[in-house]
Amino acid sequence: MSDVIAAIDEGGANDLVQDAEGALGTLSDSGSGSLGPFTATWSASATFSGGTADLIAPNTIRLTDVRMDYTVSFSFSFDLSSIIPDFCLPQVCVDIPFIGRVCTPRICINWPTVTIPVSHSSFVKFTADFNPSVTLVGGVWKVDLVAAGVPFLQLGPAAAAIITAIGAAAALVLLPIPFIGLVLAIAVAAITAAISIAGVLGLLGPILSPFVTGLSFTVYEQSQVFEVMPAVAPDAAVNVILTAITAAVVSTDEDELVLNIDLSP
Amino acid sequence: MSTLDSRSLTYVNTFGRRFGEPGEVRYRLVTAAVVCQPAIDLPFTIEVAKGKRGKQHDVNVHLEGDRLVAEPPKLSIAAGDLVLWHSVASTPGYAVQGEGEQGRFDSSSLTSETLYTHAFGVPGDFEWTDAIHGSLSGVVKVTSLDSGDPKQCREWMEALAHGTVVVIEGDRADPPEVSVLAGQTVFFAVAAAEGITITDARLVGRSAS
Repeated sequence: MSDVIAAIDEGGANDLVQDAEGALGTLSDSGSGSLGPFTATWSASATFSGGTADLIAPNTIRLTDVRMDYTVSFSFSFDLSSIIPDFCLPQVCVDIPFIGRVCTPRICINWPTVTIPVSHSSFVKFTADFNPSVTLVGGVWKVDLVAAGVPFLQLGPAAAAIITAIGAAAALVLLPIPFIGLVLAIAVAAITAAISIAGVLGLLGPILSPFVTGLSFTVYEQSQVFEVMPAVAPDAAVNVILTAITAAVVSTDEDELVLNIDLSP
Repeated sequence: MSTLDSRSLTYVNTFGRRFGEPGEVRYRLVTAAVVCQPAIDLPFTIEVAKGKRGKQHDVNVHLEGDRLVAEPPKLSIAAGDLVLWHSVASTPGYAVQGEGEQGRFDSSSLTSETLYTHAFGVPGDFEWTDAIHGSLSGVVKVTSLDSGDPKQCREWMEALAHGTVVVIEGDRADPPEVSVLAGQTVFFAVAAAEGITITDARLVGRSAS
């Protein structure tokens, strides 16, 4: 029999998880990856909120509709000539009274290398199973809920929005380029077609999935040794040592997350 | 770059001059940064023979190593012919400076029977002025069509082959204001002037807008 038994129901688990989500704060990361045929450098941040806990014995806390708010900023550079064909203005001839007939040569345009920056903020809801994990590190006991497996993120709508954002950002970047107006629509269409929804998913998935893979919420944290003050003077304060903690989902009258704690004086 | 400035010729410009009298003309190509230097090295030649033909001769300006060269380096033309200098995108801004029995000429100071063309690449209102004297000015209004609309795109492409002429005589430009589509070329033809430039007014701080 444990010295202390703490049990919380699903309502309590919801409160614990939401506190833990707030305590987790903002996660961030950066790197580079493939965006269709291009290489993009990116930075991303994510926060978590919400979710409804379902305690499933013996060892699962299922969180439904956890909301991940995220911002992904990325940019990619490429030689415009690799996307749109060479373009030449035709020869132009005019008659000038005191000079005669004059014809300019064809002018062929060298398209430059461009960098397109895109920023996208949105949220995605997901459901994941978490397992309790108890650790003692550096004299501190922690009970974490750790995501099992790789939660599925529905990123299709975000990818479609990002393709639109890429098109808008590309148009802004391309517009000041001399003569681009003549092929602007072609250029923007060529860029978004080259990337495609699959290309955006190929970038977005590896950016966002690590935020939820192995996602861990700390729901209980306690020093292994802590001081207990006497109820009545002149007794001295004593140190109590938490020698063991276990966590499990137990199904009795109702499902509960139960912590069993052993103490030694 | 595609700045409107006849003092620095780029791939979107040409400079033309009609040679009315026979004789030898020697010239050089200089980057805009070194326009002002003694006329001692004039490596390119134009032999102007007697006759009246009114033919056009094109000279391609390009970089070889770090030197601007003219191709062909030596031209034989008839009096009354036009020589038109042009370049490719990789050529830095340049000017054509020469002298012959009829005197000197300089593309950065346009005189009678010379020509400066500019293909306008971006939409906007371009006020231009003479950067030397300031008494001459005009406006080129550049608009664009929707390249995504097949009908407008077709109209646009067809329009590119049509040029617009602005004749300059003294301190007067005729017409003073022209409207073109992006990609179209304006020919600034100097009938009579004593050394002017066609320069975006913003470059010399004279823009009204």
